[in-house]
Amino acid sequence: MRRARDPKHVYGPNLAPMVDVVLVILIFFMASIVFVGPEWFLPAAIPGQRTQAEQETPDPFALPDPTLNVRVSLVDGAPVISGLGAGRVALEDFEPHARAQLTGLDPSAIKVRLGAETGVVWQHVVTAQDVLTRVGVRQIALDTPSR
Amino acid sequence: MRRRRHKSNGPGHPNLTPMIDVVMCLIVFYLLVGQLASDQRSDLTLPRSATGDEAQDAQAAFVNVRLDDDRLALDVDGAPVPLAQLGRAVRAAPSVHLRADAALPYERLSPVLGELRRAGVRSVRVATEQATIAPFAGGS
Repeated sequence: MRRARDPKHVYGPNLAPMVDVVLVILIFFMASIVFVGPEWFLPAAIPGQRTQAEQETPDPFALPDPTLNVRVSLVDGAPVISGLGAGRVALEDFEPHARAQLTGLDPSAIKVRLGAETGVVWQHVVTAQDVLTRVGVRQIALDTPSR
Repeated sequence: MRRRRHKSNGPGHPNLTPMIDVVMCLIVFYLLVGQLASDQRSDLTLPRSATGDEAQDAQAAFVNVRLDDDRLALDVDGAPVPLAQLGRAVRAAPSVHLRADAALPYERLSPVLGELRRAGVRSVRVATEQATIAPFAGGS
């Protein structure tokens, strides 16, 4: 005898738990993509080394090289910046210091050669570059070693 | 005339099959995108910055620099390259994107920049991770 098909009865497996799990997995992957985040890029020049003849200016009245040499070093394990204004300034205070030093100047016309002492990590150099970019400096070069 | 009843699992039970199809497609998409993103970055922790732009040059050479057991490990577009061969590896590329680990000491990265310069590279684009606030990594 054939059984009557009940239209209110749900046939097949219950998909609700699978849908729950799949949605949780989907949310996990979406969140992980957001955490990876997009990459940003900061432009930086790689200057050549100046020769000894170029470094020694024969004319004592010649104007100095307009390129600022900004260096990151460590004092008691904390990163400090020198070369922009007098003395050293902590990296965390570098932005207001740089803004004060560049007041009245056109920062986009300034060239900065950015280098670091032994022990300074790449993040600190990038942070200094980031600060210089924020205050309007556009021509930033990363210091390279002499041969 | 009696209307033909649309096939369903019954009252109050919508057909979940199309939704599952779409969700599965989304999962595969995010899985692949996440895998590609992690492969490109080569497990690097990029430095953070509050400025920068997202523009990428599709023809650029991506140079990944990290320390592997205190040994400098370089790869160009995913292929390991010794420092001495770096210039040759990037020579054909119109631009160079530099991905260096945030914790890499600058004195270890500096020879890489020198080698790029000797290969005729005049500028690089430094890859960073977007920071919503001004980054400052005290200490290391």
